[in-house]
Amino acid sequence: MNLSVLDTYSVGMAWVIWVITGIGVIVASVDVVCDLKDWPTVSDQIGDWSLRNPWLARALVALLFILLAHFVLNPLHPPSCPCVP
Amino acid sequence: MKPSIKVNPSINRTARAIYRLFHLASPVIVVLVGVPAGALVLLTKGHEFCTYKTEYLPDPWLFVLGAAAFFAGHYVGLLGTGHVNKTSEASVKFGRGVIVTAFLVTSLILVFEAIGSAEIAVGTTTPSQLEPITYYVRCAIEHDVEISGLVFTRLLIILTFYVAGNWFWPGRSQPAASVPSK
Repeated sequence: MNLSVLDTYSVGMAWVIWVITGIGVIVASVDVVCDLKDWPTVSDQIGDWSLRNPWLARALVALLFILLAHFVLNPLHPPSCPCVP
Repeated sequence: MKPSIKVNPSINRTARAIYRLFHLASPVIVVLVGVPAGALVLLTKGHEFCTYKTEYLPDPWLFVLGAAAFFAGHYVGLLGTGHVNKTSEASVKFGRGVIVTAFLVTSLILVFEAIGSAEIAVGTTTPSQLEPITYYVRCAIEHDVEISGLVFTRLLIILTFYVAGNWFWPGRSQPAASVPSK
């Protein structure tokens, strides 16, 4: 592993977190504007989609839980990731 | 057309008002979690930044927390039902755009994960430029143990699975009530 890459790792990870936060703020803000104007919110739109496509919604939820299990229940140690210089 | 929707009459107005206040404050809540989380990571410099000083994972309680947040998202979402929306041609197009964007982003993330996993699995002789997302996430969780005692990991899991329960398991059996806007 190139140590110079690891030196910038925290900067990169911080930006990733802030960009994801920015996306979250945009989605939440759109939801609030829709709510205040009595337009269907993002939650309403996606909820309606889930009601129209229940099996796809269940598959998506299953995928989310599989990812969570993969992240937090997996006992394997990454062999050569940025975590292990 | 009279809107038809299943609404639980036992849910009182105060609870609905608190839910709406929480909803209106949601952008601020996201900022309060995301900005300090990024700053905490940024403040920790050095190549020893992400060594596994302790073997924290696997942690079944984080999975249980996600499941609890998913159910909470569904049941708290019941407070948001019954509101009548005004729809227009633009709002219908916007709805389609939201769904397409959500799945496009999900697909891109999974493609990134697949490419990262493939690079590791193939084991090329050149250094890998991409790693599976799992590595970054597990690394971040291990690091969060040391910088905040898992506070941000727990907050992110709660937020993600609360939203999933709220969106993909809506507390209604029919589409959101709406009337065409004039």
